[in-house]
Amino acid sequence: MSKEEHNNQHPPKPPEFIRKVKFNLVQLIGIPIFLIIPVLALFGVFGESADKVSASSAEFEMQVEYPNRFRYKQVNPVEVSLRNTSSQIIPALTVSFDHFYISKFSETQFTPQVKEVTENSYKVELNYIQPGETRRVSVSLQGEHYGRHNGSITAETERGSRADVNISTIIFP
Amino acid sequence: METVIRVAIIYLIIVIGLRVLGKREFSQLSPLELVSLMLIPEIVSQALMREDFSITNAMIGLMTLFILVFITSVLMQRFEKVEAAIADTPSVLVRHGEFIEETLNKERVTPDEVFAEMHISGLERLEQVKWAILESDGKISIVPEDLEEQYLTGKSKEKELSA
Repeated sequence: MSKEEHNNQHPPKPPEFIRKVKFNLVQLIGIPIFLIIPVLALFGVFGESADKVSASSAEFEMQVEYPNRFRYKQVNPVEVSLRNTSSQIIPALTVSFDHFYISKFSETQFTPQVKEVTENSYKVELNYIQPGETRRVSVSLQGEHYGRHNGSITAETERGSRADVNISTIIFP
Repeated sequence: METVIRVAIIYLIIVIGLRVLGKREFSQLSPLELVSLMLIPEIVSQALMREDFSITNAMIGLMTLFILVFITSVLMQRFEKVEAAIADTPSVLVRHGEFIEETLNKERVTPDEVFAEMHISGLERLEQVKWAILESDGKISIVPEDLEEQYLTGKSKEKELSA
């Protein structure tokens, strides 16, 4: 088909030009900033993350698994495992959660139920823990207040054997 | 991390979906097209954001979308094949006063729609149309026969004068 015939069959095409990638100043500044957030997200910076801490006393061992990062309105649990490492029954073991820390979350649910709420802590009591037995206390938390929240979890027997751990959680807005 | 992947997947599905639907979906919308375009965000919003309504998630999603749009536009600018694959190429609907029925049917354009565009351009008969082109953005461009003749006549007069 000659050029004339082609032009008769199809409308003329725009002229060729050298295709180059060019950015203006706003794009040079803005695009890297835009890019940072998804890249960080791909590496899990803004995602949920959990941590484990443990402590022990003469009678028991305590292990706490808690969320150290999560987002607003997401629900995550704090799991406390307590193992009787002594050769005697522990008649009563009180697990105390920092009131200030818990107040930064909403829809909190304790399993087992809270026995006592004081100005400083929420107390859960476990009874008659057999030697070698492991019991769990779980607290479901919904992210409410943004920022980093620090707190502590303490477990103490009637005989005064005590262990405590510090925990820290970041809630993204 | 999941949000980035989800937005990327949904973005790809929408780009491919709109590409498959064709150019008409980008132009003035018929009720059917309007409904389909309104339903897309409703259908995909849950898949995109899940139960996570945090600003963090929204920001990650938005930034991912901006970056995808920007990368797509850069690739379209840089590579002709990418541009053709994503933006589609214009289709000729009328050639020298004659409908190309195959294209009209493929692109789901009716003669009435072409005539409506002709009327906007001040034309009333099909013979007055040299080209009616369905552009990549879904609009119909009309090139009248007379205009080109006038243009050519004008050009030849310019040449005469300059000579």
